[in-house]
Amino acid sequence: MKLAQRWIRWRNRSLWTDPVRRVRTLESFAATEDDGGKDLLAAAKRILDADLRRHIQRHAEDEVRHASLFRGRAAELRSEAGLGVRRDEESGRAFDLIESRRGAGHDRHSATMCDELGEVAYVAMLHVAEQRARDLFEVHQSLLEHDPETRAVFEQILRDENYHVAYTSKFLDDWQAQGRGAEVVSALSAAKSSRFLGAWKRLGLRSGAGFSQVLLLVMYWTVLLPFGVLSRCMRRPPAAAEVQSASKLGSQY
Amino acid sequence: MRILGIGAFHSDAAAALIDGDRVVAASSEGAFSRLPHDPAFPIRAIRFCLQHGGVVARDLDRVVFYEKPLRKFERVLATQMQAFPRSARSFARSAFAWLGDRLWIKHHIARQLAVEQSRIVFTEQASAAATYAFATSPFEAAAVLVVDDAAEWATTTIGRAGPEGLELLWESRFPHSLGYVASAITQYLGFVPGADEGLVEALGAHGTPCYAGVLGELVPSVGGGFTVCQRSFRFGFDSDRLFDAALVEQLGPARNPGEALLGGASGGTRHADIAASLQVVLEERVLELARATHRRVPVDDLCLSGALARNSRVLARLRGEGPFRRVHSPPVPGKAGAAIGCALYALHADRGTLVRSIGHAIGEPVDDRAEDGASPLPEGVTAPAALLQRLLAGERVAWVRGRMEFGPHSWGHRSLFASARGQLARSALLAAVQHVESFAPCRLALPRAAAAEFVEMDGVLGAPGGPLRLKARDALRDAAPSAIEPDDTVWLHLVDPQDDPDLHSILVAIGEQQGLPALLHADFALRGASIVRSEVEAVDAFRRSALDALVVQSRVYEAAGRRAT
Repeated sequence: MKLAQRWIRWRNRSLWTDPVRRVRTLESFAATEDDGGKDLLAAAKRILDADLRRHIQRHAEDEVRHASLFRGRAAELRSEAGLGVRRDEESGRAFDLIESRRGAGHDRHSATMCDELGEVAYVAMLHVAEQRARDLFEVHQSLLEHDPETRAVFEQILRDENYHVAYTSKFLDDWQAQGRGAEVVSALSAAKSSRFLGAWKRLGLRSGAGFSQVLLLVMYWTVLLPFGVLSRCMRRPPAAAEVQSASKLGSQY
Repeated sequence: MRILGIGAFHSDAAAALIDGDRVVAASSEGAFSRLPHDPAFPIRAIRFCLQHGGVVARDLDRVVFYEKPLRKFERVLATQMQAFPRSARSFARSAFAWLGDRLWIKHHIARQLAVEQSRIVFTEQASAAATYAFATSPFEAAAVLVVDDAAEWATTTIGRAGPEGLELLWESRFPHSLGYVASAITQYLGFVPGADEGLVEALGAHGTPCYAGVLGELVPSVGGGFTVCQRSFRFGFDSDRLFDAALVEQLGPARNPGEALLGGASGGTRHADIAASLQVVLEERVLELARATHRRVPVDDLCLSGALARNSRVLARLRGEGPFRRVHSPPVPGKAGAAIGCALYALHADRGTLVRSIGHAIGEPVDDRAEDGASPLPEGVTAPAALLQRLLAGERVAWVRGRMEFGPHSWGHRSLFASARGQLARSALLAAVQHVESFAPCRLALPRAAAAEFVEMDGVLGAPGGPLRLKARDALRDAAPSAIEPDDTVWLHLVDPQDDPDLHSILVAIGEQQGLPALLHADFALRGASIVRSEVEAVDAFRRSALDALVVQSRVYEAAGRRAT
């Protein structure tokens, strides 16, 4: 097992034993696959090479099927575990101060991504993403010995992921053989580094947000505790009141 | 004078630009980010407004933010402390967001736009919402009622507006919020709070209000206003989970998203009964608020704004039973409208000018670039003529033209149309864009001049855009049964020839051919997505839909397997 896979395995060691996290993870995978399917479908319509278009169309269909498999298994587990109302999906994500909203959990659909990147860069990006997805799913599958039904879902999906890695690899090899080696190497390196930078940014965001929230929680139970107790004892302000006067435009209060 | 209005951080973040005495551009951030109700700082919308208006940020005389951040932070802190110790987790989350950037919004705007801080000003949300409502109304003077979810402290505000300006008189304060009660029940019913309240309103038409007593006790009426029982709701301190276990004890288990709607009283469903009960309570409380407003401001006309002004049945009840002779609701009564409102308010405060003519097609225009698969319309055939031909043939057609409309609904520029005839016409149209709820609402477009023949038009205002729900007459019941809700009402889009001559001509021609000058009309958006903005987005959404054709400007796209025009 690769080092990265070991790390993923260690990080997710308790994921599949917690019924709530198990359901949420499967639902999140379903949403990601769904989004990916839409992106690919849009891209397929804009690809000129008929052979590549056919592969991408099949890839898109696979992603939609994967979404349905994940969603179906999540629904079964949700029902088995008797889980209540699903909380707002976004509530568990780190707050993105740059965007001033919770970070988008999945890549949002962009109908023009293929146009923006070009075919080589797009396929390189797909190749890197699919390799990572395959590694990730292999780890998850290995953690699911106690849950044969969910394991079977991953097995089925992994077969497709292998095909996705293989066809993208074939196209990249073909382009290299046609004398576009530098373009392919540069596209692969850009795809890998953009994933690395993205992961680095997410890590920073998550750890920063997590650390700040822990500090605020500590403050809540120490500094703010007397104020909290006091405010519970105080009379509540009236539910309605006359408006005294309009505040000045320049004032933030 | 050039003023940029900005609204952000709650829902429907938006920006609007006033140049001179005209609103030249406005857009929500969600139109660009493709996230419906996107609350993020609307930098893309701002860029569009400035670019479209031909203005660089340093030339702006004022940049107006639509709320008072310090006052709102005070409210957030106070309500978190009042909920101690239940608010521990939500405090950490909200304090992080506030201390992280919302408190520093003035610096953020100055840095993003490179404008001096002295040009950045702040209005109250209620003032912004009320100003926008009045500015879009045809009234010389009017009472104003804003019934929202949350602003700084105010959730509901009564005021008066006229040529001399706006005066706010009374306010109901957070956490006593009708808008949030509606959102909490929306979440309880398994829908998305802040987005699916319209679905819950539509679901209510299929139920019996047998829980109205229980819900009414949670929102008791108090001297013309109301309070909200805090034991059953959590929205006072938690923006993720809006209802508490006490509500589940009172109403039964909450519905999970995607679950079947459960059976209940009188052949409807338990969930529909709860939605119907919520609707009754909302209508009753808003009627009481309107009466209180009339006692304070005894005039003929009312402007209703805020989240509850999107509820077409509340508006219909207010028009039918309220103390005001005429009731106006703006085209964009929520937070996005307040982005225009804050700019209008600042303009009035500075110059004493109140802009009154505000179009709603003030978004991004369609770029004239055909996508793959486009066929030009045959020589001499106009887009309305092509659309008419297809609609008469029973096709479901998307139509994209001109500038995008501002607000939660499209009024013809990014729309879907289909014949209104047949029992299943509505569900077929909505299913084509992936809607799975059979009760999802859909408008009926009718020429205003012909409307009285099909619906009860007494006392209806001419202002376009606001939600309009009227009682159907027998002629409509027979001709367009799928457009009529179980409560015998229909959600209308009245079309005037001077506002939209193309759509008007199509409706008239359909009337001449088929007897009913009406079309089913829905937003061109796939389920869960924003309304399409550009041609590339329109073509992409069309390919994912089951629609028969897409007409963009003078081009047509056919569904796969159909012959080209």
